[in-house]
Amino acid sequence: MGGSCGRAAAAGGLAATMSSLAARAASAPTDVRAVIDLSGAVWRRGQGDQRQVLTLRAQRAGGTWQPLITAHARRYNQADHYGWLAGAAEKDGRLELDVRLRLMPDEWTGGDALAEYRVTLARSGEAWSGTWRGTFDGQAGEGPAAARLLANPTAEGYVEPKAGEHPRLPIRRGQIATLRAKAKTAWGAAMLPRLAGEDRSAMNQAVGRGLLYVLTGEEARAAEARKLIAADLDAGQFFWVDCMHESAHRTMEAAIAYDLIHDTCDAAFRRRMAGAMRRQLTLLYRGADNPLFNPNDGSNWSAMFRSGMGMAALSLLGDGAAAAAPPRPPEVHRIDPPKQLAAGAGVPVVRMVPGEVWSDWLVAGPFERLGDADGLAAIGGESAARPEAGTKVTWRAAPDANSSVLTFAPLDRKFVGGRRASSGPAWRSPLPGSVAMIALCQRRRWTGWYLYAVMDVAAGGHFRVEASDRRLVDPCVYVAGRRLVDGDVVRLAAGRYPVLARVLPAPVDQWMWAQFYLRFQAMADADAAAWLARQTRYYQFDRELGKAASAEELALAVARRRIENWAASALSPGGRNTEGEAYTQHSYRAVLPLAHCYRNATGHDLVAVGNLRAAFPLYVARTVSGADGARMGAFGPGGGPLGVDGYARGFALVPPRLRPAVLWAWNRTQALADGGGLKASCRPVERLDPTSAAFRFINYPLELGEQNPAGVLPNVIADASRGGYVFRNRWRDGNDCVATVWLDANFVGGGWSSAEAGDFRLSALGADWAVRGHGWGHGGSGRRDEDPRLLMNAVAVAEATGGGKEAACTYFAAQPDGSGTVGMDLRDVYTAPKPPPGPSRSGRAPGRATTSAYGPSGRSRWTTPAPAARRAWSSWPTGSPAPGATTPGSSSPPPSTP
Amino acid sequence: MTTDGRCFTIAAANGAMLRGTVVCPAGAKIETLAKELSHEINYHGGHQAVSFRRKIIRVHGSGQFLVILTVRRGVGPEVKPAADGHGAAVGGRTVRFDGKRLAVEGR
Repeated sequence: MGGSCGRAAAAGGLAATMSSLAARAASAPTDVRAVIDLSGAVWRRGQGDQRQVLTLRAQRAGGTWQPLITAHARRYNQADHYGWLAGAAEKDGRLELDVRLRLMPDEWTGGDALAEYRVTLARSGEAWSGTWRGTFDGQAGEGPAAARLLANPTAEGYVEPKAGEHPRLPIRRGQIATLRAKAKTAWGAAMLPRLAGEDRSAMNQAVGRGLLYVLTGEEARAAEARKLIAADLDAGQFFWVDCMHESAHRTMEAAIAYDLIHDTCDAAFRRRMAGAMRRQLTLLYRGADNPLFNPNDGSNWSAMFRSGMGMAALSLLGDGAAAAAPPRPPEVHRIDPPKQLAAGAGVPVVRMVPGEVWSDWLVAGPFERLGDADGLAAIGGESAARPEAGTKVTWRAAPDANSSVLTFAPLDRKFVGGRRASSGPAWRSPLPGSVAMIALCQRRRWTGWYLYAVMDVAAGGHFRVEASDRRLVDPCVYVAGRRLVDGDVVRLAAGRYPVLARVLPAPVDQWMWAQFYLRFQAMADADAAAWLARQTRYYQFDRELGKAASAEELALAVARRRIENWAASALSPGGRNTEGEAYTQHSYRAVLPLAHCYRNATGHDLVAVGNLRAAFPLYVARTVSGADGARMGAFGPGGGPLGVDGYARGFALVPPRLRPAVLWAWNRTQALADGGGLKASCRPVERLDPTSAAFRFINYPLELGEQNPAGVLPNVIADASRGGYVFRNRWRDGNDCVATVWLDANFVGGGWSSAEAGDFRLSALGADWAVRGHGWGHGGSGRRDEDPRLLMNAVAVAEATGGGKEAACTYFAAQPDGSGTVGMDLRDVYTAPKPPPGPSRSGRAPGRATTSAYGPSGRSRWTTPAPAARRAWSSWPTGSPAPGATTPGSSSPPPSTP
Repeated sequence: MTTDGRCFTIAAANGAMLRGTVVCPAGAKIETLAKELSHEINYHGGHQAVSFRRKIIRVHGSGQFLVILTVRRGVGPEVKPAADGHGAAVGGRTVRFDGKRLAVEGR
């Protein structure tokens, strides 16, 4: 057998392991992304009888299996796991992979472990199946394995960026000459002012200025961009200070703008950007510490924040401006009480009670723009300072800044608050006794504070340090001069210890809190020893992994897999979204730029499945554009059609053969917006913000002619996996007729769902005839009704139940002219746990059929999906047409009047 | 929005009309009303909900329902319910539910 793992030469001991199995794959040169399910490969300690599926993601590029792998096991926990391929062998339809994996805990259920698996797969057609054997958390196991190898070819003409090459994200350096020529065309000249447009996001404006710099070479444009970037950084816009998801969007914009002007930035600016981007890898992964963050794969929250995280990783990739700190070797900090410690005047001496937070402190601040400086240098430094009430500290943020004198004084009790968290991690709800830092700061951003007390430990032993680390910038505590952070383990002897906390609240939204607390949880000696042994194994694992992959490569892999999971769960293979146009289109504003930049930087599609690529053609199929506006029936929260921002940001992702048809719709949408006529009732985005303008400039194909979609798309589109159906008679004007039906099948959870299974929308002859009622989501008037289920949909029945219930297609027929029928079984929808109001049911199995008929028609050809097909993934439009869909170009001449 | 026996009609400002014919159940009663309904329209960094004046058609009855909607300008095809209540003729076409499937046939 032959096999190989990339970057092995750089991996030291890991490389030796890899090279023992290394050789290039002989039989399958195609680049692929492998999705490998290992059944029963993870389980909770002591619950070996409840084993769950582990899903691995691996990648083969240039015939070489890449060492870095990621994994998830959603029935085990919600974390992202990572590791490497210690070996890969592939020959004659057999694939053997040796996997080393670190299972990460999540914040709710834990679950950390190490695992090793040997996976053996054999190919049968397009499917791969076999077995795994190995150990999970030291216990042996085995089970079945199955894999899909998704083609993920390298983009045509792709050349790997050289180290330090910029720009490389929205454009490659090699495109500059072409884009400058484009700027000299009439179309390009008309676009340039739009790049200099305004936006509430300074980062967004910086993108436009950055592209203007690239196009014109005017240093002043780059200077503007740098100033705008710095303004948003100074304002704390990378943190959660503005709107729910804004920090993710600003990170994306900053990465693009910085890439465009990189060659104009001095070393200090580059260090600042690299440091800020590195922080975002962690901060955005956890949703900028917003307690409302939904980390589930299918959520728009995950899509946006993990897109921002991916952009930060792309920004850092290969630049080396601020390398990640190496992992810290674990230790149990043995700390003895300092001899002759005298608690100074007014210093609180607090009895340390394991598990309890204390709130008696001396406090000094605000240290304006503390950053990572030692604010107590004047009194011996943070580790050695032993202040007392009245101790004064002189602080100067910068050599040219005014100095201030800050005095340690007892903490005012009005800043002590918190309430007990009902469930979940402590950071989601302030703990009793915690210090309300935002109130203490009086909302002045970037001010640091020091808290000091003497801790009296009556009985020595092992303790785990628990200190708040959310919405705080690099908080730490010094216990007898030893720097500790949340999660550390200490061995304290009985006695008194000076404890000093360094607290720099992150900028936050006006109604958000940031608390500081410190407590010590008692640990048995054996537990501490076990903790150290386990952490040492993790440390060694991470050191080994670090030889093969950098922190930003790992972050990028995690972000990519999260977006793939989002695309596979929140979008159907036919491009239909689950969470509605409101949240999906806003997600696209971050996801699409990441996908665009990822392909430029790596040569590969961000999402190997076609779901994301299919979204645009589906908008074309559903949107009716006329002189008086555009309309599109929609399901879930919000409505359509796609705004001008979406077309601009994502056009490069549209499969080439479909681009002329998508361009047809994009041209009409942009023309309506420019004329003030994009006035759909759901108010799609009609303003071309500077970032969208930049992407429009880059992506708009002057050389490509638009084509009426009738020659490209089928008039009927059936999305079997999610039960979405479109019946359209033509693409001509505002009188086009479109009926859409939604079965809401195969909802995977984790995000917004709707109670719309079996519903339909109808637009025809210039009017919307069947629209949603209350709809679903924020602002729905149904919440005020006695039974909110009624009047929610176009078709409302008394028995309709809540979200997540699915209808099942029982038959389907389509005609080339756009006519068709879909029948559905609604028994899951009508048999809600809640007793249905109204008269008793007839006893007939509940179902529904919706037919749409345009013009002349022959006898229908029925398609009855087999039960197994209900959960099949359709391959349209990246492969063969979906079941029942007419083929492109086969439609009859459109009738003049339906 | 008007009703006429087993039919209801909605007229758009541009002259187009939707006409609905309740083929079954026999004796169904049609009630129409207008109501202010609100729902989220988009999310451009913040939730936006808008109220709409919606027209609602309630068809009271029990058992199997078959409603034929025709959208047209000017005079449209007449909908003639079949005697057995399981279908209708619509212009030159038939719409029929055979107990399992809904079929549209003819020209």
